[in-house]
Amino acid sequence: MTPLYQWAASLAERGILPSDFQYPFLIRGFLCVLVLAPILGGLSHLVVTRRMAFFSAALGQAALTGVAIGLLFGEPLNAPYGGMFGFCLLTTLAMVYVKRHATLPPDTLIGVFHALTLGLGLCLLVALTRQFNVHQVESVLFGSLLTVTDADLLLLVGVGLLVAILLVREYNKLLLDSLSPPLASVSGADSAFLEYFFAVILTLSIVVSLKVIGALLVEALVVVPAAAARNVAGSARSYLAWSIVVAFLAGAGGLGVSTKLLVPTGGAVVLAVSGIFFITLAAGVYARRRRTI
Amino acid sequence: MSAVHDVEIAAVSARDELIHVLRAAMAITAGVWLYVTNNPFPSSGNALQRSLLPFQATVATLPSDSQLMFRELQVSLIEAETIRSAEGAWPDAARLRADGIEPFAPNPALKNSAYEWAMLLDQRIVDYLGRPKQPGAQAWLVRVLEPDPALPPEVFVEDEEHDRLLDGSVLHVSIWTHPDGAAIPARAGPLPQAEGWIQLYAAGPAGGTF
Repeated sequence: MTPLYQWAASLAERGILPSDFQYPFLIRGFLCVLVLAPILGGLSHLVVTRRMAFFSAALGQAALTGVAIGLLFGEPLNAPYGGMFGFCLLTTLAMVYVKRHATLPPDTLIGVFHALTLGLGLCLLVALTRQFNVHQVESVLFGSLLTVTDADLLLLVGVGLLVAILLVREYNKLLLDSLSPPLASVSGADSAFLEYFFAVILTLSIVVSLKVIGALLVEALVVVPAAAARNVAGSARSYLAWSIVVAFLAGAGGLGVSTKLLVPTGGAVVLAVSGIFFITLAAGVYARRRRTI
Repeated sequence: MSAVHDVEIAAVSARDELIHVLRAAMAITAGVWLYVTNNPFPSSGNALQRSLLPFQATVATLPSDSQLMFRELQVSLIEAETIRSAEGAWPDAARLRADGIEPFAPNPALKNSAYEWAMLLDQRIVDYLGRPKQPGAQAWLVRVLEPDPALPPEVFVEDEEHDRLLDGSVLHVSIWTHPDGAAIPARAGPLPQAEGWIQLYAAGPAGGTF
């Protein structure tokens, strides 16, 4: 990656790129945003359609527990991926299974898992303070570009490609199943499989984006882009395209704000995506009024 | 026009689904176990290395000259804190040099020891910045953060990142190095790690309270 960083730094020196691009961490961050935007933006409209916003929030906080478990098992603070992937995937399977077979409303069940994983995570974090300075874990909670390494970027690209391939393969079935599960079943889709499948690829995407966005805020980037896109999109295709565009603009904008104002990247990205949501909301209202006149 | 026909949807039984889920869970657990026991990340060595972020390092991994410089900066920081406690102001680099405190006063035992030291004040941040005179040598930064008078007094934690003045004020202190001393700006930013500085520890970030 060093030649890429040197090349970007030389472009920044010549004024072709903004001067901040002389720092490798910012180039890594920008590349992360380039990869994350299509993944999270692409998933977000399905998350909204399948009503999985709260599920995503619970997963983000389960990742915090995953970090603690990884550290307890001896993983490095900067890459507790075994704990995060393992715990989040197990939590996902459990949540989907219980949701499918319990008689309680889904949000109640997810709330139970949410509370359970958060409580467990807090207890484990307190236990961890004997080994680690708990402030070091802040970057996982709120996201920090300064802790993103080349290995994280490669993992993000690898998982991003995997998720993109799987999503493209099953996209039509997923969309139909999201809109009407009985119709999807009649057309030959396995609704149960699709439910687990989508939850697993959502989990993978959330876990790899945690170091940039943070466990507490990752939910925003899998919900708000679709919410913003819905304000302005006129068809399913434009809904997907707008979701990706909004996720990219929020990611790049948040990155810039976070670098200039020295605030956590996750917070800046969430503020940016929320700002875009309100702009599209106003634009949508304005467009509808013009059509009715 | 196509004829209407019935489609039978055979849902998997709850028991079969549970078996599939348990199999998947076992596969995930086995995969994670294999990963954790063969962790490919290079920083997974000892407990100290595991607790560091990418912009942090232990001084033991540096060459002996750098280790000596780090120790001298730790000692000189205590001297500077003593003057701050006694006189109410931080001594500038010239004062420390005149008092013979190394590395502000050159140490002949150190190779590449020619540095231009400056004390820079920015509100509550006190920086002692050492810029190398030779190209390619590393730069050094000692950063002290004074307590905010508007906030209640902080609880003192006995570790590398906190020191206490004689009046009980708790200071946040850190020592940083930059591998390319010629490239650093005249003043370090609020987040030195964003400018390529590496925070050094002798014993690592201590366990703190939650």
